[in-house]
Amino acid sequence: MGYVAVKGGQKAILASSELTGYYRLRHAPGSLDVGMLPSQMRFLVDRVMSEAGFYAPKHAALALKQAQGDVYEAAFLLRAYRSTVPRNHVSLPLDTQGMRLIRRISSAFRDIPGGQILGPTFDYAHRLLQFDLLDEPPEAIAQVLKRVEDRYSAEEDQEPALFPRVSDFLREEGLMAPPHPGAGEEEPFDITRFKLPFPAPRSARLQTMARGETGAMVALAYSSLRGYGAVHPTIGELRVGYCALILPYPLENGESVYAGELLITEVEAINGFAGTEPGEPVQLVLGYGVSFGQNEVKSIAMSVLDRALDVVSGTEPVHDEEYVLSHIDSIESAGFISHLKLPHYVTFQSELDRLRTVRQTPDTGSREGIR
Amino acid sequence: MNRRQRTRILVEDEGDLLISLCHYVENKVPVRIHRQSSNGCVMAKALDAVQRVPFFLGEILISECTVAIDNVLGFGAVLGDDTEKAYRLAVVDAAWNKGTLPTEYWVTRLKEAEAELVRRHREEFAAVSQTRVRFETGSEYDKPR
Repeated sequence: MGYVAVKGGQKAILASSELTGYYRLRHAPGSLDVGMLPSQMRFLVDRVMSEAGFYAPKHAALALKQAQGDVYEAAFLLRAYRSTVPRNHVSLPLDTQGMRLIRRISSAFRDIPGGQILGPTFDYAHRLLQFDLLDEPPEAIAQVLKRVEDRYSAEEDQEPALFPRVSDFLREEGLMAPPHPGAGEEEPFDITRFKLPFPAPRSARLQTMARGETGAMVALAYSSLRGYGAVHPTIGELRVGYCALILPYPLENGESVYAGELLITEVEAINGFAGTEPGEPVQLVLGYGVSFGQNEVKSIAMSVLDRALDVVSGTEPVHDEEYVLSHIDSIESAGFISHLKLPHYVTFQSELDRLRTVRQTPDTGSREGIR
Repeated sequence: MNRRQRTRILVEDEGDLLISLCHYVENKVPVRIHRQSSNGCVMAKALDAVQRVPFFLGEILISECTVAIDNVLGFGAVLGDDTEKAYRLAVVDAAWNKGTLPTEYWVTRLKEAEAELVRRHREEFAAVSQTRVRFETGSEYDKPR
């Protein structure tokens, strides 16, 4: 059986494209202002950037407008755009410990140096629709901003502190293994340039999950929490904040330049304890999650999966590195599912032919070959 | 004032400091475009906080430009799509490398802008700090065991 190229449908495709635009605007009171999305739809923009693996808030907002809110399509558009711009630099390692925090919590320890800062979150919000948002006049917006800004002066002049990581305390107490000697010197694997190998280097695993699809990762992590896996962690620390993007200065070795700051979410999840070598004390083991923007559920899910992939004795899918890493990329998964919409006339006709043949054969007891 | 500190001030300044600096340089010396200001991306390297393994977090859109003043090069880069700002940063960098810029006046302006940036960050952090949790625990919890 071979493939047969078919032609036709160009006019229909063009008309369909125009109709898609028509449906975007048919009942719209005006064109959506892309500039409003990075702030007023910030979680959505963050999600698209994270799943595209490309930090560009304005472009993510445009992709969402063009895709009419379809997150899969928007992430695809953004990743496609990314492939058109040259990559001339690799940044210096982001200093997540020195990030300018807007949120930091721990569900493992009540008292962490620097304290727990709720920051912007829906965690404690009532899930009731706020109908006043339907009509939000400028005075109402001004009032919302003023309420918070008025507190600026009320607060004592306070230097933003450097918040040490919870994992650092655990290491200091000897409750957690130190990093492998020489771990920081490895050159990271780059999944955007090379095919993902299995078993995957840790750097490839983290890169794959950092741009994984939120729903897929949450579903897999959830399966572990529900018992289809061995990992059910406690959040040692979840932090959200701005990290400086520092580039090596291309005109002089050893120099660097600041290019801006980006919002990221980072999670350390504590997963019980495990022995290392016989005779050595048992220690806590942590899972790590991180993503562009404020993407908390995804980052937590990543920290669960990170640990789950280290549980070699697990038999459930969540412990299978190839299973997890091969099924969490939104462009690949949505693309493959979407291809089912495309013509399969020849393959399906072939199946029908086989079915008819089998039914015409006197002995139809065997179903071999029928899917 | 080192390059990283200077570029941080210029990138984050919300006033007209970068534009003023660029105009000052352009009025004083001829600037030649070495590499047109354009969009590019940076692969962000990060360190896994748990095992300290370096990995690539993802790519970031930037605008970058290289200019020359009397064959002395200057480079500018800024996060996002802002080719005009990347050009201005490159002009200031070239002028700094050439020795045209680090005058007392401009260093003072930069330090003022840095103070303003620190003030802005403090204000935001003060607002964020309002959400710091003040735990209260019952006496049972605090009983010595």
